[in-house]
Amino acid sequence: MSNRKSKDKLEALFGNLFNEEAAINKMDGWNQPSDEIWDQIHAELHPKQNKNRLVVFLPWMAVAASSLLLIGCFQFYQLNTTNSSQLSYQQNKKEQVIDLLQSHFGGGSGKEEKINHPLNSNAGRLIAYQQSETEKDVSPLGESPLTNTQLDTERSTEISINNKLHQPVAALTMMYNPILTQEKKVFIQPPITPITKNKSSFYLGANYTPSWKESGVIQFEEADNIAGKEYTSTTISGGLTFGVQLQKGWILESGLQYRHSKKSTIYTGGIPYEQITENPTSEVGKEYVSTLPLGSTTGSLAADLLLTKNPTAVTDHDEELDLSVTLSHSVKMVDIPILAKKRWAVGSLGLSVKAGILNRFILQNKVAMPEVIAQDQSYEVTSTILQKDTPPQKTTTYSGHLVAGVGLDYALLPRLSLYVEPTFTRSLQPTKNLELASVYTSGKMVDVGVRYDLR
Amino acid sequence: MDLNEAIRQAKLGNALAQKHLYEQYKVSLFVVCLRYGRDRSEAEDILQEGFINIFKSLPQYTGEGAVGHWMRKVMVNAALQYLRKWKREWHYLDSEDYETAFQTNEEVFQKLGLEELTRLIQQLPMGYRVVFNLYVIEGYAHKEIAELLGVSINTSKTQLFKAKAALRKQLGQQSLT
Repeated sequence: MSNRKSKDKLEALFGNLFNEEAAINKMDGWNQPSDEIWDQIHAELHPKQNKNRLVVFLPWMAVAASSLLLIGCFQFYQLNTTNSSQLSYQQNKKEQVIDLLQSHFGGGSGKEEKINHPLNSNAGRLIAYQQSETEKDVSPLGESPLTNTQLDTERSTEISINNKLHQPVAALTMMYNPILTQEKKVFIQPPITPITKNKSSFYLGANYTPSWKESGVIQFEEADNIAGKEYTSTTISGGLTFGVQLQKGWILESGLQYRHSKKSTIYTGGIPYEQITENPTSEVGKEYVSTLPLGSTTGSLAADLLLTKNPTAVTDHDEELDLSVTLSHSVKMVDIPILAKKRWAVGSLGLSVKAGILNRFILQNKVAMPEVIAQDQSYEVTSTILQKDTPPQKTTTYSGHLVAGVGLDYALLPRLSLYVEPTFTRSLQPTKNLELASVYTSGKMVDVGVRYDLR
Repeated sequence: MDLNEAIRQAKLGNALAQKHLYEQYKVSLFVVCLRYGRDRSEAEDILQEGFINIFKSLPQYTGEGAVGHWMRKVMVNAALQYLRKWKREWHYLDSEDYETAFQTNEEVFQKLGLEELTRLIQQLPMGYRVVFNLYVIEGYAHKEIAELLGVSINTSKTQLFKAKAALRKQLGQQSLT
């Protein structure tokens, strides 16, 4: 800075007053910045300390949740397979027990028998209670020869025996429901686990999404000169799904989807000629500098536009200079959805609705330089993407999306079905916050695929 | 915390020391930002970016000269960077006879406080505002301003001239009301 010799009164006034420490530091309120400024500075300087832990762990939580669901599906599958074999095994056992009882209880009344059952290797004993005719209509609470432990219904298997075959053998149902009937029952205790046919089943699927149209929703805080936008998008997607069908048509589903999207966005708009003014940084002609927020699949970009014009050219100040800006980029991403579905079956047809969370991981995002065309040929336009807002060539950006959709499936074979699912997604949070805009990403897609039921 | 110790710790990235320096200089530097920004919101943006630059480049501060002056210089650069990046309007007054168009009554300025003068500066078109701030308050010479902004010395002089004329015009309007 140089010392200057002469100052007029105005310069002296401003120069002196704005360099007077005491006046500047006077706590007047107007010269106090907002309290949030420090928070924002701190967040910028110490990003690790300020990152929301939930956000940091969200991608890992998504992967963990999907893994758990996958493991859960296998568990269900294995359980169902085991139950089927257990059912047939115990049916055999039941028949053998009946034979044994028939040979053991020829008649008699009112006595308890304990039998070592060779088929029950774990339990080692079988208890049968023979009820006398007089006990028929009496509540035997307290009279039961079986203790609570023995009546542990959680661990007992009940076998009903036809009256005709086993007339002398009476039965107790359980301690808390001790109504005596003619039905003859035998408790085999303990160890055969209760067998309930689980209706859950596991399925695997493969899907393909030919293309869908995607749009960025830009919420401007203030109007921008270039507001119009038009998208063209081509996306190829494919992947695997897996899920478990629970009771009453409820389904939990997850999967792994790979998507490759190529997108071209054309922004059109006009700038009033009168706004294209001379710039003191240039002495060659008129200039217009604008920062343009551009939505994209992975967030948003911003581009600086610079218009220059020969100073001798004449413009009509009543009209606007029309511009079209084309921005192209391609994105590779992996999606991990976690969905809940409700399905209704009508014959071979199934109708379903679904909702859930889609976890999106961006693998690569390549951005081409924007092409800017001014309708007025006397203008030259150059554009650059702002370095600050340009996404890196390769990243693992994560974003969570809400998913909702409907589905239609048709069973080609008992276990094989085809399905079509129109789906809508929208990002939960802005994928990018620009100076003037918060950008949410939304998408529409139609998944088609096949499912194979493993039940 | 002692100022030198705070600077030393802040250079190492100590958040508490950074906060201490921020609290110490936020008011004086915010006034600088208010002069360069169009309004309070812009000034806060500049302040935020300026302080981030200050703390990031603090290791380069060798201790030569007062830290307050060094910070102010970084803040002014941050303001110029901000205005270059986001702003579109650079104006010239069309009128060439501005000097005689309004009666100068500088006595009125004497009655105005820092806040009112800041508002007057904020109302200037950006080009005028920048050159006026750099020349009159920061004390840069026209040659330095020309290099800083990438303009000719004459452009800098013209901008200053017009800025002062605009201030006198605003003053004339104020004195009438």
